[in-house]
Amino acid sequence: MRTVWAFVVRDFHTQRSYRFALAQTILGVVFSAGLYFFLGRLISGAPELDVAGGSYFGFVVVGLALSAFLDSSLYQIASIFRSEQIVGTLEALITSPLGLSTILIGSSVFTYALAAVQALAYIAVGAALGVDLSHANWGAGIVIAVLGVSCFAAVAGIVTAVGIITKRGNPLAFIVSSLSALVGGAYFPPSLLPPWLQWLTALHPLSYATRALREAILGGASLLVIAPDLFALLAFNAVLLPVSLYAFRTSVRMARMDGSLAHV
Amino acid sequence: MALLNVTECAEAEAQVAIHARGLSKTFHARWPAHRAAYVVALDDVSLDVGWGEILALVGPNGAGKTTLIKILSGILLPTSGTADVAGRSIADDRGVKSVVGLVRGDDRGFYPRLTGRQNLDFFGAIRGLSGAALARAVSSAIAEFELSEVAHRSVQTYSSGGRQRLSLARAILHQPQMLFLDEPTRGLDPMLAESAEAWLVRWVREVPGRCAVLVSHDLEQVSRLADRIGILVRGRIALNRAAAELRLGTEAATAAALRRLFRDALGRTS
Repeated sequence: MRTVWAFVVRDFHTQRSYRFALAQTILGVVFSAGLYFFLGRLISGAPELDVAGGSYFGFVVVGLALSAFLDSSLYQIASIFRSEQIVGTLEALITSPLGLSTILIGSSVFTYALAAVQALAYIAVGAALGVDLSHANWGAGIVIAVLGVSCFAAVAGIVTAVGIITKRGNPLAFIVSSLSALVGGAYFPPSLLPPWLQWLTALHPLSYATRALREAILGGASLLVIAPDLFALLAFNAVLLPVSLYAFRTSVRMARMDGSLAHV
Repeated sequence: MALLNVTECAEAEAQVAIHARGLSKTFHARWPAHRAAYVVALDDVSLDVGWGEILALVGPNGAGKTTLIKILSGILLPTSGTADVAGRSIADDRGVKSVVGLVRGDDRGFYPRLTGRQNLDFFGAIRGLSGAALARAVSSAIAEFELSEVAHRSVQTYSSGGRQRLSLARAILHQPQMLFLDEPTRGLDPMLAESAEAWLVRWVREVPGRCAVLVSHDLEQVSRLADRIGILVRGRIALNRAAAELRLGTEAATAAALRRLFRDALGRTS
């Protein structure tokens, strides 16, 4: 735990050295939420948006909040390790007796803390622009977020492993990101997809997390109501977390084998 | 009598800080289509280094010196062969990593946006130091390598010599038993290089149970510091001798003799 904290302190100092980065992130949230707010005024009222009381903006704000975690997983964490490889600190980390899982977790915690700030900013801007959160079941929301984020973190481990091997360009991040936008249910209800594409929704943890989070935050659903989605997320975790650790260990082993831990 | 032999063997093994046998390393291209392209970096290297010794590895560029110390410090995996470092097999890389310190041969390996002190705090913490012990280790390393004036500055503003001193400071934070130093005085001015050399000799000699492996292209430095000298050529140990056998009165004469041996070794293997 103390070691993970050392990573958090390191990343906090690095983040603080980029003075406008956090402000830029928050401004990005405000502009993006503003864009969807006006778009929502054009397209609200469809029956597929019942969970958000017919409001597209309410629907999409929850999707954007969860997507903040997924985007961090797909791009930020792999980019942290790529940067470690370029500046030579990955080799320095591997020189220490730390376990690889500690290095992976330690390097991710601050990124997810920032993603949480971004997600809360989406919810706060949403509330400020009229999204009704009066019935929100925040406890259930936290449970869904934790299960969803651990799924995304597992995906991050796999994407990072690919990045350590391929160095430039991460085809997996691109594929998962594009697929998530299409079938993850963050931006529009997956029921609008043609039937031959809908089966992909069932294979994506984001679709379970967004559906359950909307029901808990916008509809006030209890844990019992969203239990099927929670079990699905647990199942994804059970499969993805070991695969992720295996992929990360294998990629580092390959880099230790071919001497590319510090390759540019 | 048999018991005595066992004890003697154990004592003899305890004298050896590094015991490497048949280490080889071949770098293959990663993708199957290019498997035919490969580089033999180390070829059947065996060596012993005793406690209290400084082994200097010299050799032309690409001879495998850096590869050897990266394998011994647990960063790289060998293609074949075994080695024990401070009694720990390199197959147990976490065990090895806890007792070695590494000074890299370039000035990368630090977080450029963090200050020197923040970097040391981080690298000390991931080696298990915390609280007062971490603060003490960092302050002592900063003082030892004359980093006090720059420790509060971000590493991206450091000169090459400053980064090199920071690298030395990082290597000793966790009180290792063994140091692997890849051109540790590169980029240092003559005064700082001299004090780093004096520090290294003190570090190895003052406390029992320490040793160092030094990679250097500076033959004068090697003749000043080394207890044992290994010449690596094309991945093979071409010569491995106690430095005392080569010392010839003056430092310049020793370095000249070493240069001759270096040329001979190159000639023999070409």
